[in-house]
Amino acid sequence: MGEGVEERIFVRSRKHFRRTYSTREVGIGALLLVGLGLVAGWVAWRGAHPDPELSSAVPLEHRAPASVDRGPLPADLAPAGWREQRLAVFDPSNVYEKIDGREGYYKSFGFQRLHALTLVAPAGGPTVDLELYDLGSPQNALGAAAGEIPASASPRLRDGTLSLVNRNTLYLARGKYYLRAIGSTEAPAVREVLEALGERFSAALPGAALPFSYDLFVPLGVAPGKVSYLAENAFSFGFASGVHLGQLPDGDTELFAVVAGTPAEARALAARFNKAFAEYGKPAGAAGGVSWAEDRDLSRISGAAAAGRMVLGVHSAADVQTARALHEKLATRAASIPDSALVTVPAPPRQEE
Amino acid sequence: MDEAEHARLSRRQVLRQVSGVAAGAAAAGVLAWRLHDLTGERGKPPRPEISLPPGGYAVERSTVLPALGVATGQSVAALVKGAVDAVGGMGRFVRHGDVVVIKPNVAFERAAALGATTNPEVLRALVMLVRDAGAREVRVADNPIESPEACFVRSGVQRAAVEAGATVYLPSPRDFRTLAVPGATWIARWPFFHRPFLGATKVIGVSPVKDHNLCRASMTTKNWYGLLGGRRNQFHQDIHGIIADLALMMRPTLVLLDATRVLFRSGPTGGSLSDVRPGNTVVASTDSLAADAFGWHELLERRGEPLPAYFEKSAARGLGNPDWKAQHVKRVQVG
Repeated sequence: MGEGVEERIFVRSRKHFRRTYSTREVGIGALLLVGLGLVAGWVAWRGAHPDPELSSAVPLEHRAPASVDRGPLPADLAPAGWREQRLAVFDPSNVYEKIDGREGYYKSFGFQRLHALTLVAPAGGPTVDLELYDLGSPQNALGAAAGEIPASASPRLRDGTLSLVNRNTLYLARGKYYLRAIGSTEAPAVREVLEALGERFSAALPGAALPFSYDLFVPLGVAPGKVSYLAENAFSFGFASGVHLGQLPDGDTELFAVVAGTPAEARALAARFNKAFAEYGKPAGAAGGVSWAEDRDLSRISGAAAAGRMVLGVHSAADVQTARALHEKLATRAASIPDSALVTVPAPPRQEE
Repeated sequence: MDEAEHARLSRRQVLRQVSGVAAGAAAAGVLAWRLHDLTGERGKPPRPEISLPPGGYAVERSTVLPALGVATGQSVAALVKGAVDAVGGMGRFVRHGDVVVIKPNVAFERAAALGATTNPEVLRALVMLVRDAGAREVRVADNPIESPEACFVRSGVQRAAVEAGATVYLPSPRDFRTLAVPGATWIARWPFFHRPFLGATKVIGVSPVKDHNLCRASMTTKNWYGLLGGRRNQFHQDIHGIIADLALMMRPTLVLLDATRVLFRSGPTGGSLSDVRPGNTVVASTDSLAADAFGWHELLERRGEPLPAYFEKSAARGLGNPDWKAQHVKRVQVG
């Protein structure tokens, strides 16, 4: 700026201190005004053209699903005439918004993600709610399913899929996924939908090798639907996590197996089981390399011993002879299972009650 | 300022300038401290705490009438009336002109048959009984886990309440106020679904009998959880403590235990009809702990197991008596 041109531009006593503005200043001012005008124009236009969702006459629950990632949910699950409604996805941080009070159950089985979807029949007919849980491993998926399938039911195991339609509910475990599809009624039309969903998900969900416990327990007379897995607190023992269980047809006796890191750890864990069983009753003698204990209330026999990296046990057998015979069969069967099949699943974080 | 000018500064001028800078810094510090608002709460308009009436909404205790009314039978309307009549009839609890809040459990978007929510027919019968007793207004309110609209519609509670003449209050963010609960461990100050309680004179809870994954049983005391707002799932870290707080928070006029169906496993959400068995029973009481203890032993059929810890915690605060066998229980068989 040349000599004699005043640089100050502030206003004093309501008068411009400077009589003129530079061309650049006028240009910048004009640009700012145009920008402000554009913003005002955009606000006015949006006001005149509101999002139709804001004043939709269609109730929220009847609107089309928002654009949510379907994840492993197959496309177009609604049968002819039905429609999909309210697809939603939940992770460990917000799953309580869907199943508050029950989320701890799934978290104890390594919960990672829940995809929820409702299928609605026409004209206010029945509904089917789908809850597809990603539990991180086949052990967890099968364990969660086993814990919810009614005790009297017999699920089917076929091509790596455990499934059951019981009254109004489809239970299905495949790979790391556990699906519950809940009908609002047990009407034949709803059961048809559940059966069809079972077929769709069996074909669509990625499979995985079944846990070794099926190879271990099923040849010994355990029904496939009675093979389960407890991620934590088996037999109410705080230390007993990652326990594979197989319930025998008498409904009381259970075979169990736990994979430890090393044979030494397995021996130590077997000793803990035996000590814990004894605390609930009294020693019933050692036989077949196992220190058996008799429950003081139920008079049933339990005990465990290490076999390589595994702890093999019998819980709640009728007598010591039966328990010993079962344990020997279990040990023989376990010897045929390759070490590579003994996969362990990280224990879930402990939850306070 | 050149060197020569600097040399001309007197001690007075230096002191004045230093003092000015120090005063400015102090003023800025005070202002910053006053405006500091780490949570953002101070910037909001003040929302005064509210309190529920001293003594809650309880009626005077009776030394003559039974503590528990237990009705068994098939007709839902007869079950509700039979249970309430057994503890003195609705006229003991609701007077002409009362404004009555009824709190069902509508926590989940489930069909009524699945037992995760209050049976809408029980609610319908209760609303009609309250209206027949002369209530000026009956309000039905809950703050469900899932979408309130969907839960009220799918459970059938919305329809039953409206058809019986009640007004349904669905929660929205502006309906919550901070409730002071003196003596509470977790909810001494906590958002509370307040709008239905404006002008209310009586409160009745009606809850299903449910297995619960965390607290083992969800009945009339746990039912008040549905009046809380905020991130209430954090209370699951001390589920028994929060239920004892709920017993402290709400002293109801009457509670009804709806055991027309019993969700005996996979609770509180349920989902399978195989997890539900018919109970054909309704229990009425002014003592939530007595009603819930009865439910634990007789309806969930957990006779050999100790009561969940929240019973002892609540009883230690003098909020009821879980020893229902020691109290006067009137059992009636209805149609």
